[in-house]
Amino acid sequence: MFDACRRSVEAVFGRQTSARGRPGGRGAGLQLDSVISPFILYGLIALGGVGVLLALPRERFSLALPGYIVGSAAGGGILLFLFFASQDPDPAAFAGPEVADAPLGVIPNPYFYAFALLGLAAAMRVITHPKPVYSALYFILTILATSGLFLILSAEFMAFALIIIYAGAILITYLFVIMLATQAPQEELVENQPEYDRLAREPVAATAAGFVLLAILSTMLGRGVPVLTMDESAFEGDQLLAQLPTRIERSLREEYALDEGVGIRPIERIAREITATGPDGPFLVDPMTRTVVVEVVNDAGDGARRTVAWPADLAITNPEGVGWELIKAHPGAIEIAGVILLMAMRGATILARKQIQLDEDAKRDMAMARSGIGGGGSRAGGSEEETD
Amino acid sequence: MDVFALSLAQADFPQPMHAITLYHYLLVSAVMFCLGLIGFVTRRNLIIMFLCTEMMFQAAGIAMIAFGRFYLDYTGQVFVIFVLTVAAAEAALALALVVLLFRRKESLDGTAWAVLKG
Repeated sequence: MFDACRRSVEAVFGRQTSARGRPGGRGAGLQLDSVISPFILYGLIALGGVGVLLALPRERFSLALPGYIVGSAAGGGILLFLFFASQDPDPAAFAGPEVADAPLGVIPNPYFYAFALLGLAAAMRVITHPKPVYSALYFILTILATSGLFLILSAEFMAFALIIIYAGAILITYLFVIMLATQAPQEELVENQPEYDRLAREPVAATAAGFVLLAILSTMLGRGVPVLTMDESAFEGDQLLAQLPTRIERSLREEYALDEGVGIRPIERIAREITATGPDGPFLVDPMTRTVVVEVVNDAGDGARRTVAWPADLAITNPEGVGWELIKAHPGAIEIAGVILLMAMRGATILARKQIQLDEDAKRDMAMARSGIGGGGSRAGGSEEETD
Repeated sequence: MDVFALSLAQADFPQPMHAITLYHYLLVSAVMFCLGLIGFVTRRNLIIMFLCTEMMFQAAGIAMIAFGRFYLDYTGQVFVIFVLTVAAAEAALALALVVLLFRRKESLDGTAWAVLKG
C-alpha cells in the first residue's frame, strides 16, 4: 500500500524513481508502475465524482445516503493518499531539509487531515442538500474548517476575520434571504420542496467536467509544487520589526525597565529620542544582529551609548505583519476596496427598494403556477409594471 | 513528541510547513473549488448558486494563504482580505438581486430567467 501510493505520487509528480537510488532493484517493473499508478489518485477522484453524482438531488428516489458514503470514502481515500505521499522516504524533496532532519522523519499534522475532511464533507453537503437553509448551515461548517486550516498555516488574523465576516455577517445575510424568499413549506418533506431544489440540472455532465478538471489540476499541481523552492532567508520579520521602533521600545521597556545593570532608566528618554532614528541618532536598530543602540541614562547622567540585545521573544505577530503589508504595499487597494463596499451598499439599497407591481394577468398566472395547475413558466415578462 | 501540538506556528513562523506540504493544501483547495463549480452548474436555486461561488472564493483563499506561508510573506493573506471584501460586496448585491427576482416571479429558479440569455 505504501509503495503503491509512493509510486503513484512519484508518477504524478513526474520524478525519476531510478535517480533516487532506492535499494531493491525493481528493474522492468518501474516503467509499468509509473504509467499505471497515478490512476490510484485518478480512481479516487472518479469515485468522488460518482459519490457527488449520486448525492445530487434527483427525482423520485433519493440516492443521497450511498452518495455521501461513496463521496466520503473517496475524500478519505484522497487524504490517505496525501498521508502516504508525505511518508516519502526522502522527505526533503517534499517538505524541505528541516523535516528531513526531524527524528521520525515526517510527522503528519493530524489537524490538517481533520479540518480538510470536515471542510470537504461539509462542502459536499452544501452542493447536494435539497434544502437551502441546510446548505447555508453546512457552508458555515466549511468556513469553520477553512479557518482551522488557516490557523495551521499561522494566518491567525485571517482565520478569525473569516469567521467573523463570513460566518458572522455574510452567511447570516444569506439565511435572511433564504427565509424571506422561500415559500412556506407545508411540511418538512423533501417532496414539498419546490422543483428547482429537488432536481439538479445536468448532473452527469457537470460532475464529469468538474472532476476531470480536478484530475488535471491535481496532476499539474503535483508536477509543479516540487519544483518550487522555499527560501527562508526571504522572511523579513526582523526587517519588519526594525521599521516599527515603538514596538521594540515597548518590548525593551518590559525587559529592561527594572534592570539596573543595563542602566537605561529612565526609559522614557528613549521614547523621547526615538524619532531621531538613523546611524547618527541615539536610537539605532539593527535587524541583522538583533540589537538596538540605546542611550544610557543612569543616575550620573553621562548619556553614553550602549548596544542592547532585543528581547528574545520579540517577534512580529501575524496581525502586525498583515497590517503592515497592507499599509505598505497596497494602500491604493484599500481605498478601492472601500469604494467597492460603498458601491455595493448603495446598489443593494437601490435594488431592494424597487417595488414590483404585477398586473392582473401576472397575478393570475402566478396563482395558477403556485396551485400547480401549470402554465406559470410560459408567461412572458412583458405584462408587468414596475415603479421605483 | 509534539505530534498533537497544533503548531500555531507564531513562534516558528519562519519554518517550513512541517510534514504537510504545499501540495496538500493545494489539493484540498482544488477539490473544494471543483465542488463549488459543480454546485454552481448543477443547482438551480439562485441562492445556492451564489453560495457555491462563495465556496470557490474559500478555495482560492486556501491556496493563497498556503502559498503565502510557503514563501513566508504576507501578501497572500492581504489578498484574502480583498477577496473577503469582494465576497461581501457580491453577497450584498447578489442577494438584493435575488430578492428582487423572487418578488417578480415568486421563484428562485435560475432557469426561470433563461429569457435573459437573449
